[in-house]
Amino acid sequence: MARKLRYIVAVVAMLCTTPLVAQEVISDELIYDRISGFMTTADSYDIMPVRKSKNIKEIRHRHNIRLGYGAPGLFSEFMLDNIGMACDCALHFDYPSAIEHRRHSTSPRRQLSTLSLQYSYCIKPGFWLGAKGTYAGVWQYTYDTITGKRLYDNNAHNIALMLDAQIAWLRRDIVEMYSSLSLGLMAHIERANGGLTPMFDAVFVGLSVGRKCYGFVEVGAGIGGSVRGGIGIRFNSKN
Amino acid sequence: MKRTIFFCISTLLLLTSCKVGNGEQREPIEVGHGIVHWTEENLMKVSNMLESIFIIDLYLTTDPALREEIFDERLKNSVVEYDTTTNTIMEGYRYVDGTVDYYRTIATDGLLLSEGGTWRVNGQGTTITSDGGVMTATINTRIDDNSQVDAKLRIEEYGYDKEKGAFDVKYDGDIYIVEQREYTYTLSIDVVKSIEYTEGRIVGGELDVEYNYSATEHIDKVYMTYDKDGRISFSYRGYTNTTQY
Repeated sequence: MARKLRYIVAVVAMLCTTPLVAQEVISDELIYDRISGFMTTADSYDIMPVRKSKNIKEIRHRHNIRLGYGAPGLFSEFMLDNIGMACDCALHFDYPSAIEHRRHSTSPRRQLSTLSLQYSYCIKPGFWLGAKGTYAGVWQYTYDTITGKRLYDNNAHNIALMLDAQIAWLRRDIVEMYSSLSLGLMAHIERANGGLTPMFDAVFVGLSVGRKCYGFVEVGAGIGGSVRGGIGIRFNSKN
Repeated sequence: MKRTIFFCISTLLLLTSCKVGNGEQREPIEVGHGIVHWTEENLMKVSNMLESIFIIDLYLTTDPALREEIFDERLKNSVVEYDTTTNTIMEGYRYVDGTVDYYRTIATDGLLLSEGGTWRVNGQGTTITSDGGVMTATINTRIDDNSQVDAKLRIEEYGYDKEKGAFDVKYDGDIYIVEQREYTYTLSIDVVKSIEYTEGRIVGGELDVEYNYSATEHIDKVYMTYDKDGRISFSYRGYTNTTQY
């Protein structure tokens, strides 16, 4: 319960950043005019002089970098941890193996759910291609119940690198809704296991608010987790 | 500035959300609990094994009134037939339609246990002999696919308590359990003070138990005592505790 609550608080905190970003951008006069419909008719165009704004350029950004964090999803949790260990479940409790099980204790388990870093390039308005890297890790160690001696670490790390395609299916000046699909490879590293495996990540619905700097929340599946949030920046390589 | 503060706060919140499990912190006494539990399981198996044999002797030797009670209480779905020509006792299960499925035979030397006879339970590696009035049960039996029990027990007394409607047995000796899995687990039980078994549970006795796991070569020693209510007090590595199963 406490775990779920923490994730909810974390997501809410992420959401808190996005209205602030939006508030700042919407104060730009030109954008305000567009949203309020001032420039939607020919008449109004005649009445109101066109004012140049750097935002005109900004809405045609070519590059996009974003940093995000995803709450654990069923798939991402399974890939990191095979689920069973995260809940501290004792899977075998017949005697005498239970005696040996009790001889080992484990420290609190800490997990960093999926951190992601993504770069995208705008191929055409609303369509981005790029690469996404993710990292997730879990840390815990096992010690001897009787002596208290640290025996070994149960750490596990997932590092994925994927190609990403994103389509924005709703675009407004500061608000964008999109979906994306990423495919690539993931390396799983841990003490007693590991390997390279094909990996995917899908964003079913994503919402970004802001123009140059923006915040985003997403709902998806795959290695990225279930609900994700983060911040990003769009820019051009030269003015 | 506000954005930066909110970003920092949200990042801190994310980092605090990283703890996903409390782990399993255990006390050393829990290992002792495990050994005690396994010992109890095996003692019950041995006691039940003895009960299942002695109850047949009681059934065959007691007076007709008690015999009927024993049958009703303990052998209701069973069939016990003593063939005196072959000195064989056959035990089976009687189905509702009256058919019988024989599952065990006991070879006797012509005498019942209470007459000082020797019984060999076929297929179970159990032999009960009497020598100079001392009854000894030798058990070399596979409990299941992985485990084997070897025991040499001196039976001090056994009987059927009419008031409680229960079988009693009191015995001492040594019991050795081997469980073979990926590695070998062994349990050596040395009965210090006789085990008293009645109404399907152990209500007395003191034991020195030694547990060994071949993979780590751990040797753990536990001292156990049963009270009349079936509670077990035990000591392990200087820790003491009481439990009941």
